[in-house]
Amino acid sequence: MRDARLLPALAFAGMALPALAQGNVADQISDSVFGPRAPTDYAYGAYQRGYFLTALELALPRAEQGDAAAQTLIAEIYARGLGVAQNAERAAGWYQLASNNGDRLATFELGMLYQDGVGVPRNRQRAAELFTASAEAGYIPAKYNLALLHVEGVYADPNLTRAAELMKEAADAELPEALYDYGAMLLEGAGLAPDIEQGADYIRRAAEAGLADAQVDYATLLYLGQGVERDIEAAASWYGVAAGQGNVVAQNRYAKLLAVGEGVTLDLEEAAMWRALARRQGLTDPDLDRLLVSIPAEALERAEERARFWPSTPPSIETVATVPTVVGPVLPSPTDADNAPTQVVDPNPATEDAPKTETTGGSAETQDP
Amino acid sequence: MAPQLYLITPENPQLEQFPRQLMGVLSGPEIAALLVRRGALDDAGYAALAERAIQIGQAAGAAVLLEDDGELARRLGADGVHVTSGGTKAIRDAIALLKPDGIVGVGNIRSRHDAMSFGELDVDYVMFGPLGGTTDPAAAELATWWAETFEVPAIHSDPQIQTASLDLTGAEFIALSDCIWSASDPASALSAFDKAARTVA
Repeated sequence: MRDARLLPALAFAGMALPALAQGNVADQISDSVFGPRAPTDYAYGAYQRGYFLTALELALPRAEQGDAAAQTLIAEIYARGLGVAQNAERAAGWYQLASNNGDRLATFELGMLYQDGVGVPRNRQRAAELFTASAEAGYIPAKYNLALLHVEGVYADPNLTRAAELMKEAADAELPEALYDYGAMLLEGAGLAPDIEQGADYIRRAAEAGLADAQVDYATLLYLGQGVERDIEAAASWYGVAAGQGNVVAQNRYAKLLAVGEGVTLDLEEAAMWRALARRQGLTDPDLDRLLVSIPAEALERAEERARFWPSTPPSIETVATVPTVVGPVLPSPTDADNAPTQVVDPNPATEDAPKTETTGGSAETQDP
Repeated sequence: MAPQLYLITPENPQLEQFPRQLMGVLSGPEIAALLVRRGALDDAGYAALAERAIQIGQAAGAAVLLEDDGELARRLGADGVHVTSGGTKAIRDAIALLKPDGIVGVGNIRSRHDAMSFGELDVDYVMFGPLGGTTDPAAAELATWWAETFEVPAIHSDPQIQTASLDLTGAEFIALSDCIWSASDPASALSAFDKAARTVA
């Protein structure tokens, strides 16, 4: 009787496992407590564990039978080249099959391939149709892309109101790009009534999700006190975060705040380092240069050196900085007194003094052995 | 775009009368390619049939393809080969032998995975459906899928196809076989298909 209940489930999973079908006490108890189990997707299980070729082997027979989940799985394996040579054409073929079988993720991914012309001829109209289908099936990234198409107004009808609705749905599902774009739409009143407070709130959420552009915008809102309470320190902190992500605008503004000590402790060397990094990306700012005219030559040199190695630390500094500080219990005494060091070695004898002598000038580059 | 016609010879033609019948059929509408089926013929018999069919087909402006035997195709001056067995290796061999001047197509596709594996091998077309006999119910769907996704042209072969149902798959070529030869007048049957194909949007 139990067999009769479980066997259809196994047949549905596309494979027979005799050991399971015979059943055991643990399975019976499990079934009586939790009810009949959902069929296990062995192919997906193998995929999750990184056994991609096993996943492919298990998924192929099911995919040939028209199983959309298996078809999408194979498409993902080929699209990303997991355990096989990357093959966008095959990925497109399997995504197409899965999409025909109603898989919304596959429909979306196929849309992306047509949008970018990867594995298939570039066809933005087709991409738009696929995004629409996937969005109607409720797939969030597709709603976001469809919203952008409504803003662009070429491959979907130009309709900011519809764009704003779709964008809100995607934003409320915490898609970072959608949080940012919907926040921007609220700030500008694009497709809906402007609401600066709410807009700032969405941009904050996008910033917290790690989007550098949103971090810059949120920092600016904080700095200007638009939609949020003015908070220079928080603004400086967000500029710093975005600068660390490599955003050139943030690097420039963070440098300015550092150069005048606004919202952050004044630090000309740090400011000069961010200026150097922004310049490297092609942004030169005479205002910032004026703020930094008084920087001592050595500090400037150190800043440029740090920028060269950013985000790592220059070797010259690292040798000093990475010697571990030994705190805590005393090392056990050596058993052989002759092997003992002649004196106790302090790993970083001048930790307190070294930085001071460096910042106040003098010979930072030449260090006594 | 209107699909082009691809004609497949009958499985067991009457060798005395068939060349003349073929000539009559090919004097009608334009055929892109003619596939000479091997059927139950031995090597010598097939070579003899192929030689006649190549002359007739090429004179009518069609590319003439032989079944599986690339060596024979080269020797007799056929335009290419249609590979139905031997899998990837046979296809690679045929490509090495005939390309780039000759045509290499594949048929006898058993799965989607096969279709994609073969389609990646620099072949000129992928054929879905049997060369003759009964209709393969999955062929139309496969051909549709292939035509809308891949660059390599698709051929849809449905031996029992009707003129009214020509436009369904979007395949670049339509293979005609039993539907022509079992007609009382093969030449006019082909003309009817040609006319139907031209009206496909």
